[in-house]
Amino acid sequence: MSAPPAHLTPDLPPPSFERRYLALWFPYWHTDASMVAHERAQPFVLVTQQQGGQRLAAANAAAQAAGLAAGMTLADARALVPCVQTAMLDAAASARRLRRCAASLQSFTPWVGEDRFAPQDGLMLDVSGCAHLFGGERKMLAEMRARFARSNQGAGVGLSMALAGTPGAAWGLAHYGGGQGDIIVPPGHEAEAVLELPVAALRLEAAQLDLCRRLGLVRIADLARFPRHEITRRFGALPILRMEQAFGQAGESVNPYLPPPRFQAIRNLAQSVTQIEAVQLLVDALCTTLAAQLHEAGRGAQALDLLLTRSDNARLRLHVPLAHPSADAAHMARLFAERFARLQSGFDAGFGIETLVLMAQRHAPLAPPQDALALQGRGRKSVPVAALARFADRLVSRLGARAVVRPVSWPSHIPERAASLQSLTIAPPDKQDEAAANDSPASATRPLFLLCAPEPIEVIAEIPEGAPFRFRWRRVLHEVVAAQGPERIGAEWWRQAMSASPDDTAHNIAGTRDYFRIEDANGHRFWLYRDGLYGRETLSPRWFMHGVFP
Amino acid sequence: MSAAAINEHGDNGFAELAAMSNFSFLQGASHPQEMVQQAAALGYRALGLADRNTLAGVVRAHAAAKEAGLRFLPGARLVTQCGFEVIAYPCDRDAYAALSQCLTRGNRRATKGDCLLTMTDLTELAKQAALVWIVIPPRRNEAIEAASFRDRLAPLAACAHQIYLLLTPFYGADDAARFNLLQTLADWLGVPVLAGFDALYHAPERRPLQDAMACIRAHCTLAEAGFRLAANAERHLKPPAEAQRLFADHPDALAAIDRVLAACNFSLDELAYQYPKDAFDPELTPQALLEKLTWAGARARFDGAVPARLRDILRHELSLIEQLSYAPYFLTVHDVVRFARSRQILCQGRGSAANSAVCYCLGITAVDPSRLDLLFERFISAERNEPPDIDVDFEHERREEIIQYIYRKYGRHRAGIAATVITYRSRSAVREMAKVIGLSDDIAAALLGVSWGSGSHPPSRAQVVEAGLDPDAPDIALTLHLAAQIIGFPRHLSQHVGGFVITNDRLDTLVPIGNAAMADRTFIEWDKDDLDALGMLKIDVLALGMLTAIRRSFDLIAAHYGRVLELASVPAEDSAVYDMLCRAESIGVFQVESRAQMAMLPRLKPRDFYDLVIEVAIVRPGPIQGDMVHPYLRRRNGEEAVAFPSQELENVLGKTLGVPLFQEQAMRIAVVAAGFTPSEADRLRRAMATFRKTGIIHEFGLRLVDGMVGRGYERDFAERCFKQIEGFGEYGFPESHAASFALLVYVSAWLKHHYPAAFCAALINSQPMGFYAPAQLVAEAKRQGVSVLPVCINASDIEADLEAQQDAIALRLGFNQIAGLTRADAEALVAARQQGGAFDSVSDCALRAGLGAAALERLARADVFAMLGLSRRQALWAVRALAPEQKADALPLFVAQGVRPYGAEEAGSDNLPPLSPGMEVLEDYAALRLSLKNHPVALLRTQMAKARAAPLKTLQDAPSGRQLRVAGLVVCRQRPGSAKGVVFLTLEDETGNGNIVIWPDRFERFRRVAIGARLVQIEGRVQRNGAVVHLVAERLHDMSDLLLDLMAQPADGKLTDLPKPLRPKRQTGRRTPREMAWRGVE
Repeated sequence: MSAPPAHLTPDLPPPSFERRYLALWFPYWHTDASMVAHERAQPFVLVTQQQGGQRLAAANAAAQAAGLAAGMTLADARALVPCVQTAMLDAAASARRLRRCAASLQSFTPWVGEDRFAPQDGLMLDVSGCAHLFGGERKMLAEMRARFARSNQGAGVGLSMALAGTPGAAWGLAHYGGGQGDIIVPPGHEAEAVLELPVAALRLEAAQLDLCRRLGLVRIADLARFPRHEITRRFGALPILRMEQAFGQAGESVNPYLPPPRFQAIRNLAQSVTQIEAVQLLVDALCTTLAAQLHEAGRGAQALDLLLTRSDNARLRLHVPLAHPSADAAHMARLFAERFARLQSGFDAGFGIETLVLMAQRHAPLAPPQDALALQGRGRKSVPVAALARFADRLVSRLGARAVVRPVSWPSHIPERAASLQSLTIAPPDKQDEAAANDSPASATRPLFLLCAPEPIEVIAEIPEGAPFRFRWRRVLHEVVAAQGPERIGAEWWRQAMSASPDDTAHNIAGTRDYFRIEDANGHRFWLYRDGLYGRETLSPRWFMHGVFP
Repeated sequence: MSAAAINEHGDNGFAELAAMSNFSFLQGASHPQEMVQQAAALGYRALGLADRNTLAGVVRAHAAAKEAGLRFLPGARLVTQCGFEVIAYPCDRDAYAALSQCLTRGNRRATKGDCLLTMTDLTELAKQAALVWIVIPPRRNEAIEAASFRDRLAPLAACAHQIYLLLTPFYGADDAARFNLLQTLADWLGVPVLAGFDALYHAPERRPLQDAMACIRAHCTLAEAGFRLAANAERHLKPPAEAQRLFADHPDALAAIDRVLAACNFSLDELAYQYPKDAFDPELTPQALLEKLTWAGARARFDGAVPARLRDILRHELSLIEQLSYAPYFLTVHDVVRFARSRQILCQGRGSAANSAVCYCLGITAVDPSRLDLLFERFISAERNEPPDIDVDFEHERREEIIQYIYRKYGRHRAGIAATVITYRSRSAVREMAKVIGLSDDIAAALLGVSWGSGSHPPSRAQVVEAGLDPDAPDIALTLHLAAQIIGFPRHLSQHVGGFVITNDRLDTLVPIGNAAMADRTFIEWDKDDLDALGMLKIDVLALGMLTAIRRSFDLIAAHYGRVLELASVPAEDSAVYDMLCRAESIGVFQVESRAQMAMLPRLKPRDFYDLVIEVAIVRPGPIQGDMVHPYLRRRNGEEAVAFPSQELENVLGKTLGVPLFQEQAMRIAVVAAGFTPSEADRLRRAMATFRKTGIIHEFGLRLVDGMVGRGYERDFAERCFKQIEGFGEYGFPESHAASFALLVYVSAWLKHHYPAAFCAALINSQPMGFYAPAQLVAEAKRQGVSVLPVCINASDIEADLEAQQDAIALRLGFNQIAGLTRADAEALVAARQQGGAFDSVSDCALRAGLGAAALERLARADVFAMLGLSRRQALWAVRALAPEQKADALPLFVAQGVRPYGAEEAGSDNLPPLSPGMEVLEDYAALRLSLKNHPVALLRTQMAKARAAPLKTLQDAPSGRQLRVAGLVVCRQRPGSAKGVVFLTLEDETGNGNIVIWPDRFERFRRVAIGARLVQIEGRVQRNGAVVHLVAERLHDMSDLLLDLMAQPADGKLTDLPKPLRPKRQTGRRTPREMAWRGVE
């Protein structure tokens, strides 16, 4: 086996010792990784929305055994296996999990790379010189497999591994070596190990594989039988290159994963700390560092993550969302201080904190502070967005995200549903466009004070839909001198139809309401309604007081 | 105010003048008929219906109003680009024409389905014509007060004949203020107010549907819709007393209704249809011309000796035509047909009038009236005043020429294509409503999965359970409820396949014309029922694949056998042809090649032309639903005495042994036996065909059955007759249609029997058409003894052709059989060969024909280089070796000198492993959709024998009740909606076909195999019914994996074009090449 020419592989260290590559392939990664461990034996498929409906993106081992395969429509899959479990494919989450898996493998080798030819479900590791740490290659693979199976995400996940002197051979054997056992190719035997594999093990493109199939070239050996120029004339250069790479006649590099977050500050402690005050001081310092990084890049953090690693390797994580992108160290520090204040009782430093990492995984351009435009004479002050956001952040830090709410108007004709309280962290809904809001009520027709719940009243009124003459509310009789209405508001029938339990059909969504604006003899103005249309819905409509005009 | 307008309450009757129907797509929530019926039920004096920028719904409303005895005002709701909304009612015919032309202008400016109108269009229209305008004020009070509204309203008011401002109680918070505001504005502008409900639906129960449609329009769910939904359900038609109360403070608004009704006296009945006149001989009247042409035609048909009986019929028909002045219509059809003849385009007429003797003599049809027993005594009737109906089928590849001819001859302003109303069907309704309710995609897909085809019912409870869903879950129940309501609602208009309306005057004065999706195509807003209801004539210019195939057969026969044929000159009543049909050897024959027809042929045993007419008509939903098939067969086979329910019915049913089979017979029964007047019977038919949902059918049904029982018929017979009429409503076959089709059945069967090679080649070249793929057609030809030759680089033509061999004429497949090879490439190939002789190598072919790499690979794949001694792999090896420039375009210099650049393309190809016989067959299927080498199953015979699976031939000869195990390729899977979950499989092997029936319980048990398997082994019991044999499956076994054995290696490539599962499925498993995805032979 000849050494690769140096100019082709500038980033490879000089071949002073044998390079060894380990290819990992998880045949059912998408499905396995997104299932609970104990359900991995059930048929399960992931689905994507494609043109012309939903199609399977991935199927686990059980589903494939039942005849399902990626690319089928969901309807077909259901026809074949009615009991199949489904979920939407979340490719990003799947990739995240693979990255996490890669990170955990770094305890075996620092050189964990993505697999360019199977980026979604494969990994490529350079394990040169690592095996002796684990007592040899076979033991290293066994240890790897055992640790993986023990881990939460690894139990029951299919895994195929192959170790060889070239990435090409390792890849081919992991994917086409047959079975899920560990394959180890002794140094220098790559060529003979891969010759009998199908041509697809060469990592060729689909068009070339198709041509191979149609020419009847099944195994790599079939391809190797021809003079190289005949192959290149018909296939292009790639098959020969890949063959040489697999055999170790041409070089190839593997790319390690890039370091993750762009903005992070790390502090490793020589001596672990247990006092929360000490931690807090360290966090303050980290905030200053991180803020400086962010400021320099013109970015503001949208969320902060603080990772504390204890000496027993346990990790604590604090997540702090920010209402507005910020690169203000003091603000960040204060937020953490408030979080720590809330934590006090629940903080368990164990035998001490060893490492602190503060990172900003979500960040956005830092908006330059916007000064109020000098509006001649109109002197309306612009809302101090940043200050408000800082205030909101502090409230959330201190009280918790669910405790801080704001009223949001909601497009509903039913008055008590027309507003709701929402957590600050949820963005307010966009205003519906003008045309859509065509049927929205004018605000002048609504009372400022709405009762928490409509109160039943006794009313004398004309049927079918006349205004009240007089009514009794909270034991006081009111004589009506003026009335405007009826304003008719129908029930939200779909809520009625879709509320499963009959209890839910409380009076507030039962019938059509006729609202009247009423003025009594004392000049008090009320908003009351009749529930149920006379004749069409009921023969004895009930009346309710719903609000008071000031 | 007339006395009649005073109702029992002592007040004026009310009339809604601002109603909308569901032809205002996704806005109106009631059918026009429902609006009319509700208005009539409430005792309205009149109803005005105006849909958004269209007149599409008014004819239905007009017809329903006539039925209900209600006065009807047709109008349109004109909505401009700037959002100004106004209803326009024409006062007279001219105003209607102007309105229609205005809408046409708006339509023609926009893309399909849209209408662009401006305020200028409205003022122009107002100046030009006497219309009553009803302005719909904006919804919000601020908008009413806004200057922009006044500025738009004032100029229109200045030039309008009559104009009103609509007052509508919306039951908003400030209705009273709104009314006052409008009244003030009205007084200020001098525009009176008018009372109306601006009704979107006929009854408040439709509010949920209207809300759901608003969601469909806004692409949101109900929960998200918010203020896009109306606050209440008040926009419906209300009782007149309610109207009086609501408008008590605005008596002027109520009084204005009278003025509108007095002004608008236009009715759609005034649209007097004018036949095109000028297109004929100016010297003669149309009648004289028609008579001249008819007699000339008759003499030509019968060589001068017109039989006396025919002469009588002709005289009778001509006098009837004269009486009803239909001569221009016949002349128009004749003109189109004559044009087709001049271009050698085969055509044939059908329809109620088509089988008249006049049409035969004019050459419109080729059904010799003397071959039928006085079929058409009632082809048009004076009493019914129903317009004659002639549909003309043309060769499907050349219909466009006819359409262009009609446009050329009459002009686009006088000829237009009718519309087809595309309605919500089961699937589309469920899909939209699932979105509106906000069902997850997953559940929606499951619901859709059980909505078969384009049914008119949402999935049933059982089907929902089958999908694994709970039909009582509130969201699912609501989805299904709303879906059921919207089914049958129009979604949009589309152009009819070929219904032409040709008028004498401008067409756009009758009906608005709009753009179609196809470039340079326009169509009118009315569909064929609307045209029917107004008595407007249309000619259906339809496309029929079989005519193309027959034309090609005639051409091939003329070229290779020297015999010139045409439809009318094919020898009649050839008993050998009937023998073949009785044996159900009907693959490729028009109409009778379906599985149901093939099952019927041996039972019916057609022996003459009229038997074929019955054969065509009997396997239709009408007779099947009416349970008329078995009684007919029993009587025909002499197992049951031919008896007539009464003397009067003997005249009607004599020809069909006392069993009604044709549409006319059912109608005649209504007249003769149930006492319907002819026009009532006709309305019954119409009610069946079009206004199916409106409940009048049930009424008719009661009347028919009671009428018949009252006249002494058995209730059972009466009910069956009604069921059959119901079935006809959907897919009826009148006798005349059946007769025209029967002729094509006879001609195609005759061709198949006498010239199987030519017929098969013609069918292959006319694909796609018919039930069978080329593989089955070729197999059938081979069974008939035709030798079929493969596609060959030096022998094939572009299309399948005939080739003289030593002893016989063989069928040579053409380059068009190669999947993916373009016609241009095939033409280049043939041209290069004609110029420079046969090709001697792959590179020779590449150079001289100048084919691209992809085309050459397709040729190699199709094994066309075999005569050069190259296998398909060797040919591919050589093709791949060609330098890119050599493939892309020929090097003219080398070609001129006969020099080959490069060379040695075939070198090394001997190293390639040969294809296994199985792979050869599979590759044949992939490249050519058929294989001449062998049948895949034949290669698996040893494995089949090991599995004790018998060839399918055994099934044909097995006695009833025998337990049998067979295996074969699945050629076709059917799960007809009407068959209650029964699945039908058709298997194929080298010995023939076999029909399998799978009952639902077996299907559930072997679901995966029944749906997914390509090669299946079935164990079951033989069921024999006459010559029809089924295997009733008890056990199914998937043998698809055996097909993998056929291949020398596991290949995960796509081998297309073998049977497909119930729904197409694509498999791209990278490392699990489970099965090849085979696409079906339908």
